[in-house]
Amino acid sequence: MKMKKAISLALGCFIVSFILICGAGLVFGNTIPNPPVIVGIDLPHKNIEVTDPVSQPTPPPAVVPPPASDPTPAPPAAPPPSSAPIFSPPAPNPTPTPQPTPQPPAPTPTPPTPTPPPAPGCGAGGACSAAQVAAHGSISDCWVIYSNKVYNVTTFIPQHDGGSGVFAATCGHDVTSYLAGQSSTAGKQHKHSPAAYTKLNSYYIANLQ
Amino acid sequence: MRKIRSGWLWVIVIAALPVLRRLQLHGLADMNTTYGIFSALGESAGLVALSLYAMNFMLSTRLRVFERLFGGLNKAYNAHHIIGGLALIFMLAHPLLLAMRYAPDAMKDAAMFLLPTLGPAPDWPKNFGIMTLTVTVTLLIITFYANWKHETWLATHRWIGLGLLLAGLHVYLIPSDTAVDGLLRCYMLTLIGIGLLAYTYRTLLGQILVRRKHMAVKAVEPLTDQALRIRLAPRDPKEALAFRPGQFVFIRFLQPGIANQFHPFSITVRPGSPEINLIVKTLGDFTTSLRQLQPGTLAEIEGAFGSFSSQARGPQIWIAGGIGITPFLSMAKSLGPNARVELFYVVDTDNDLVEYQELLAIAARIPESLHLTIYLTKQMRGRITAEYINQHSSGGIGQKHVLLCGPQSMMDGMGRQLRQLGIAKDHIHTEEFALS
Repeated sequence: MKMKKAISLALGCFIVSFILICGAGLVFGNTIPNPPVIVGIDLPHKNIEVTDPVSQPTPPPAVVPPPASDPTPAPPAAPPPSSAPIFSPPAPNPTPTPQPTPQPPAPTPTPPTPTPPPAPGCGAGGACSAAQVAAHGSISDCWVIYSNKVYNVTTFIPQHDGGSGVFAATCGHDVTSYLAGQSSTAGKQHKHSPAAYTKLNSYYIANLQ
Repeated sequence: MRKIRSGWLWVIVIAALPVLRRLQLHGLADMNTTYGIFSALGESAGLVALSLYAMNFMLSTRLRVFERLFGGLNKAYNAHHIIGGLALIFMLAHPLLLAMRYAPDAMKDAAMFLLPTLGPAPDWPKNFGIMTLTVTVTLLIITFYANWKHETWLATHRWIGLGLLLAGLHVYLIPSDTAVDGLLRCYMLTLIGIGLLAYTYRTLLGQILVRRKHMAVKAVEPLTDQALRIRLAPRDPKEALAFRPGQFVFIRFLQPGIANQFHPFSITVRPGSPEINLIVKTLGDFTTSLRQLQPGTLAEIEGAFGSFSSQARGPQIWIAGGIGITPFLSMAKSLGPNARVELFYVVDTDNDLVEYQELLAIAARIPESLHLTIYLTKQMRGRITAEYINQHSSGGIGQKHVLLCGPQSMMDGMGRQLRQLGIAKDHIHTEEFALS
């Protein structure tokens, strides 16, 4: 009899919670908008220079937007000394990770005037190259590319539903097709839910060059 | 300290192990966010639910090991009932807690998580989980709430294995810790595999795999308006049944017009008898149909089960309510000269007494061993109480073991009253005969 009461209580809680969650979800939607439709899903997934006209101008609100000069490649310049944006993960390279990426080529001779303001570097408001992302290819310092955007997911790894194992193969790489369930990684193939993309938004740090 | 049956300890350990492994994998590092907390709770609820679910199939096999672990098959079936309920509760909590990870920022995602993902790109791992929940909840609601006929309920309950199969697919495919950690994956899939084997052994291929004896109905004798005695003899002397006093069998009669299902009945003869007798009270459709049993009808028997008589030592008080006298009949017929038993046989009127003359004969033959008190509730204008028994037993109840068999309400009430009189719980033994 006690068990029947406990089950009645659990069933009641389940039905009420189910109605509340589904009702709230359908009425209010997500307060954090989902990322835009990913054009890369139907394309070969490797680092193709795809410009998403929808997503580029509207970066997620929780992160620092890319600079206004985004559509045009930033002129090569040294990164500013202390212009780290307020990312949710710690600032990139908290540990002295070696940077195999070669420094940008020496600035080309420029006209004497006017001098452009120094452009922000990779992860500091500026775009990153695939090679720069590849430098963050470990579980303790994990950047990934998704639909030509760069995300620092280091702090997310312990929360990943699928465990941390898959990151060993994906850190530093383009995960667009893997997230869409179009390829497998570490023997796992899984089409991620819209919630996963919402979650991913909060780890955005830069666009891909 | 209250004694915990080793069976329950096993249940707790088996259900807790995957949760501990998950904790070992993640530590407490992911508990510093709402997302992490709900993930941990939701996944742990799922692991516990599935462990309990799989274990319940093992308990339903009626293997001797579970009788020993739980102190009798009736206790094992009680555990089966409770574990099934707990599995359902944890199973309901599993998706809700996981959906709550997305709240309050992404309520739409939380809602979408709870609903099946179909269309051109279905999320089968999740969909299998939802199917598991749907099948299990439906079948267990029938078990706990629907007051259907036993045959109808049994026909639905047979499908419970489908829920475990779907749960297995959910675990196999879901990209969670069970996909990443080999130990956890192996543990959960092994539990599910054993559960499915148990289901195959008992339900799918029970007819072939479960060992059964065959006897023929020798006679059906009406004892009272509602009680029948069915006498059975083995077809072959090699198929004689070995049993202890107070044990019961599951029996199925192969006669058209009688439901082709196993039902439990106590054996009422003493061990060693070549024939066995069962006494049946015609309470429901099945038992009423047994009035039509014909001599020569073949019966399949599984058992014997139960440890009612072996739980108590020394001076004892037996309390039988109505048809609950049946296990005591074989126990009384087996009493030796050194036994000290006081039997309180409770019926509404003397028309309801079964094998009264046999009991009187035993009490006359070994008066020091068996003292018989008949309690007629209509004549006494009320139910028997523990206080009455305390006053009318030689020297009071004291340290004697009390054995109870009768309607569940009577056993519950009497058990409560006995504990209020200060009788230790491990001195009170019950035999539930409404197994399901």
